[in-house]
Amino acid sequence: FTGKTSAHAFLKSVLQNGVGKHVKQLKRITLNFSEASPSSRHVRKFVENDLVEFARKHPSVVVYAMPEMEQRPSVCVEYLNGREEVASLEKLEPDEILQKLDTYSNRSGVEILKIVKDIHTDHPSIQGQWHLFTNNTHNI
Amino acid sequence: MPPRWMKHYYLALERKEEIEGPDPPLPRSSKPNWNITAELTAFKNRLDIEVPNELLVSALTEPLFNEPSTEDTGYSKLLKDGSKFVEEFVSHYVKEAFPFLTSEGRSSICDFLLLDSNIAYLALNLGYNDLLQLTGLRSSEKVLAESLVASIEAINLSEGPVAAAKFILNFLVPQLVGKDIIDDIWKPSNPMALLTESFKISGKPAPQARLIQQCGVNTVTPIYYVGLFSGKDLIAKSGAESIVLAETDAAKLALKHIYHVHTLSKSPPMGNLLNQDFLNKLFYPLIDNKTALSS
Repeated sequence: FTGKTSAHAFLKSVLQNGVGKHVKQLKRITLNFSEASPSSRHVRKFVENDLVEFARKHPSVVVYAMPEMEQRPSVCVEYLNGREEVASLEKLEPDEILQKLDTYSNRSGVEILKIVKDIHTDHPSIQGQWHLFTNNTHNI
Repeated sequence: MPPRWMKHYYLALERKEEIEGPDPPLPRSSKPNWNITAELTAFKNRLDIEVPNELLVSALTEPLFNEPSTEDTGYSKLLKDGSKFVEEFVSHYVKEAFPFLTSEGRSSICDFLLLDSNIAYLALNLGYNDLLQLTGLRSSEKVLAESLVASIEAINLSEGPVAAAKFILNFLVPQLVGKDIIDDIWKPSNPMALLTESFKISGKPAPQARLIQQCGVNTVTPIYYVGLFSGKDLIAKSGAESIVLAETDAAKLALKHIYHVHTLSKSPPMGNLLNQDFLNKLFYPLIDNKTALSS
């Protein structure tokens, strides 16, 4: 280990997802935006035009639109493993918002970290790995 | 940064938390963005089940008192019938999926799959904890496990036993992935005795442990290689830091090959590996109208 060890993890699937039925890990999306402020205009447009279609496409995700006065536009996503993420939607066009939500809906909810590889082979070397008894035939 | 005159209030709050511990987490339903109808619909879509809302809610509501047993769809009734169904189906599955294993090994796999902590972990990752109504009198792990079993019985009542069995195959059985049956689940205390017994049944000469190799005996890291022989055949060999450990290890290795539970042997049928013949065999005891299966 060096001093510069950053946070890292092995690639893993949640709950052996996909071995049986595949379960979408995103469970809830909450769109927070303002009813009148100009910074939320793209989110309002998205809610009017695309949100219903998005919700229909993902029947296992609950979508909440929470308008409130003088609030900056943001999205809060909750995953089945209990993790929550909040991201700003400021200065995003409606199609960019849709792209962002699609990305969230395809994720497993596990925190994004540097992935270290877990490489395994049953035959690391054709000759066989050297060990103490390599060139000794066993005697009974 | 809190205002200067609030400092003592915040310090007192900190002190209170130090003494009393953190507050219990609030239920998700106490937040403003919560619509129970939408949540239940999404929950059913997520798990691909069709259960009436009232039945699902009663499976997810921990009762404060024991209800009268006359009620057909109460929590206690669902739990009682559900645990019977799940136990029967899981033991039937294990019997079909591990035909070479002894009954002792099979029951250890069933026990592992039906462990409260295992089922509670499953329920937690399938989103049960948000919909669960707890009384707070018992540990949430226990109630999570119970409510998953009760919901399986709810599926059984509304969609039939085959759908409930498919739910178990989809979610409970894949918990075996990545687990070694002998090393992680069964952990037999005396594998050598098991091996002797299985050889006796198959009519082979009893296994004999012989020291094949040794190295560094007088050092702090000695290594012994023990081979198990049945007559003149070498069945398995393994190395460890003592002769007893090496012998146990070799016996476990031999057992894995005999029971077909080695990492390299064929994995138990689940997911894509389930073929129609196996499913027919699994669902046969569940179906009343036996002719419907063959069509």
